[in-house]
Amino acid sequence: MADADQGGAEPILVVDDVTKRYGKFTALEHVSFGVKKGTHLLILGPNGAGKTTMIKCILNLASFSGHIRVDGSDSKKNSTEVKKMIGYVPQNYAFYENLSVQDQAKMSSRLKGVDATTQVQEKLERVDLWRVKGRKIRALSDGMRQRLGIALALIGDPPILILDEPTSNIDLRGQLEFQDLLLKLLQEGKTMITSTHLTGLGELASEVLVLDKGKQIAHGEPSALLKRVNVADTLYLRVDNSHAHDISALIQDLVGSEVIVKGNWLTASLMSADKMKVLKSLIDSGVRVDDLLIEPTSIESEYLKLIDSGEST
Amino acid sequence: MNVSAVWAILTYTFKDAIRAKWLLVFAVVFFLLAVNIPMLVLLAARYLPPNYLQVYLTTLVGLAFPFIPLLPLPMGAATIVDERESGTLQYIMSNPISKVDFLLGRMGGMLAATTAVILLGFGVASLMVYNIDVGRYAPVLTATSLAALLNAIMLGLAMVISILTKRKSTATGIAIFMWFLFTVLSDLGFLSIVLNLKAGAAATLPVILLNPVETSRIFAVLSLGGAADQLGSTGLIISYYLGDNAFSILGGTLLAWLAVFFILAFLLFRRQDVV
Repeated sequence: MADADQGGAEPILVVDDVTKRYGKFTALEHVSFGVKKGTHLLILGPNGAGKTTMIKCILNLASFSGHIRVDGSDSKKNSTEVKKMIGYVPQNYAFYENLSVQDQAKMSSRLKGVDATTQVQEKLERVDLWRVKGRKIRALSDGMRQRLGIALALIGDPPILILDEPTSNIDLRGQLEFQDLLLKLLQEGKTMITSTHLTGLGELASEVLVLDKGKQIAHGEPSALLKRVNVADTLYLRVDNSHAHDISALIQDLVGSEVIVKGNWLTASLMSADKMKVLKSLIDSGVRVDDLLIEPTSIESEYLKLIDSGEST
Repeated sequence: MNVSAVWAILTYTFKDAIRAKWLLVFAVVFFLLAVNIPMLVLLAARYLPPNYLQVYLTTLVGLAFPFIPLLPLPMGAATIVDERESGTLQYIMSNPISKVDFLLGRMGGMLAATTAVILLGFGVASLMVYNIDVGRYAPVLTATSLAALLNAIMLGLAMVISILTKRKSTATGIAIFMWFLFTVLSDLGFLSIVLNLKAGAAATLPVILLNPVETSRIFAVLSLGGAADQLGSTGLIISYYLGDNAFSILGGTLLAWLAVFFILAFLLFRRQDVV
């Protein structure tokens, strides 16, 4: 098992040497990783990287070579048992359009073999859809469909949630609400796996898996991966105009970064390790700093560098 | 087997199918084919020959059976491939159900809906014509049951088409072609060619048995005690070659077709990736 054994808790999901081929096309090639209980794995990669195929393999919707185990159960041998432990939110929120929200939830309860009378109302209320329970699914907005997808995935209280491109079709407000819900679910101890080619979810990720053309490019904690590609944070300083050039020279001498001066704002790119060095020098120099902002770099905006670097875990 | 899931899929499929206009149209068509208005006039005038029911039903079989595949073939052929195209199949199969559970529910729902249309169309017409004598319902039940059997066979074929195709339009096209093959082409082309060959009539036998529509038509006419002229040329060939065994061989062939298509559908679907 290549990357699946990690320190700490035993992974609840173990993907071991999974390869998926469609004829001559290889969609996934020797992918191995593990997901610990209660953590959030973000699967990053451009379109066609193999993210959705990976999810299909976990759910045993597609045949593959290799092994996937969920809480010790083999996904090929005990497919039904494994699927009981996973709530899945599909990419296009493809549900039966002519059903009402409540009827779709009842149907999902029956498919999962759980009591519809208690679960349906509870889960729909949780995502604020109980008030529109009689509305047909075809009349729901994309944001509502996403929330319905999450409610349906939560039916049966599975310990793992898999979300395929959850923020690709929704507006900014919907994305923020989604992040809030995601955070609550993580606090409740759910294990989450989210695939995306967009940004906005990196802050909530415990681990990141980067895929490209079916290959596993990187896997690990976001901070560790960012270190590997030497990405820089951005420092913004507001200073008195008369000191701008002195401070610019100080930063340049200290870390060699180019400093852009626009009015009384200075902007510089800094390696994470250099941030404290710069701050200490600013304090020691005694110059007055009116404002200071450090914008950290997110893994989602930098994962392409990992792909370009061609490094593997 | 997850009985709750099978029932959920079956009831959804049934409700969704009976909402389709296609099914309502067929219910009306079967009713109009079966009701036979001149018979109603004769009935009202109390001027009916003693064997009127047998003549009427064998005529109805010849008239209605070629149209029956048009009900399950396009509907069944679209069902799985449509779910695959829309993504709902991926969602349904992500739940803790097996492929067998899904197919059982889907086929059961489609079978219930299409059979209901046949029962409704023929049943209402029969009630209108024969309400004077309940004892006469037995042959009507025979004709209707055989229509339902043909419907089930064609639904099995439609499911195989739906599982094997990647686009709904392709599946519908193949389904319509199959109907054309079993009805028009079979009569006009295939059988004419075979009959003109040296092997002639003997070669016709397997060709008839390979065609569930023609097999069920001849079987229905024989079951209803139809006369030689009502069997048609293919029916006469069957009678000549199979003699007293015709009834059991035709019936067995129809059941074999039913089993082959349903088993094939399950085997293919089980081996296939969901998406």
